[in-house]
Amino acid sequence: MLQQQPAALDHVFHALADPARRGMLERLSRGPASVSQLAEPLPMSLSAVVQHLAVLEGSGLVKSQKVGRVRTCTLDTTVLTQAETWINERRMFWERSFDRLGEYLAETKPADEA
Amino acid sequence: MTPGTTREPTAAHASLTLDRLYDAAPGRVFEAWAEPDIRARWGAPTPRHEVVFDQADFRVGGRDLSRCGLKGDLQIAVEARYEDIVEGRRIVFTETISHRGARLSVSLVTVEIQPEGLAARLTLTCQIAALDGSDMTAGARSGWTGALTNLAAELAREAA
Repeated sequence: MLQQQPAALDHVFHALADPARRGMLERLSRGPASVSQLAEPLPMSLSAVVQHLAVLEGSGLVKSQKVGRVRTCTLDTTVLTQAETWINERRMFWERSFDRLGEYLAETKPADEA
Repeated sequence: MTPGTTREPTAAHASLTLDRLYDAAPGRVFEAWAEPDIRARWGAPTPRHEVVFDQADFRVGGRDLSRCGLKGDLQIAVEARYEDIVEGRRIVFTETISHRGARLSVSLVTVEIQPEGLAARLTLTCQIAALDGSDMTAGARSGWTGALTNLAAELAREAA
């Protein structure tokens, strides 16, 4: 029932596919954080964290801004709206079901129907 | 990760309108909606999908309960309640769609069938309240990322 979505959602899925990135998103869902705050609980180098952050920013899930020497990251919820994705799914579902209805009606057309 | 956390509940609204012109008598188009056996033949979007009716009760106040999805893995549950039926011409129903026990949307659907020459015009208007923020997981994953991760896994699996 759920169909492949355009590129934007693919980036989101890739972003979510890594546990460290999911952890970072979880932290950001509680409020903005600096890169070092995000890195603190993670058992990896800062450069690895920065690489993960680049994936998250590339997906649109996270935005960051540098003020002075501190880069602050925030969650961008617009990409995450599951509801809008679902609405598109419903439209696709009806369109494709109506295609099949057309096929059914053609296949079962009575001989005496004009 | 904090277990069992849910996002702030939100709702997104949209109105979808579709219409088709079918080379068929309007009565046959209506029957395709009214008869669950016929509905099952076109109610799933591709031949790899299916819809199974656990309950069908096509009358005002009646409810259909169905499950749909990929054959053998019907993960979507649909409950439809018929609010208005005009024989051959109009069907109005509410439709609640759930995935693994979590409600995804509640809709008001109006189906209109009008003769157009020797053909039938089918118009569907779906006013949808898409519900966001519910924890769709079975509890194994925590927080809101779990829902989208499961969604991603499901889409990847279906695309394979």
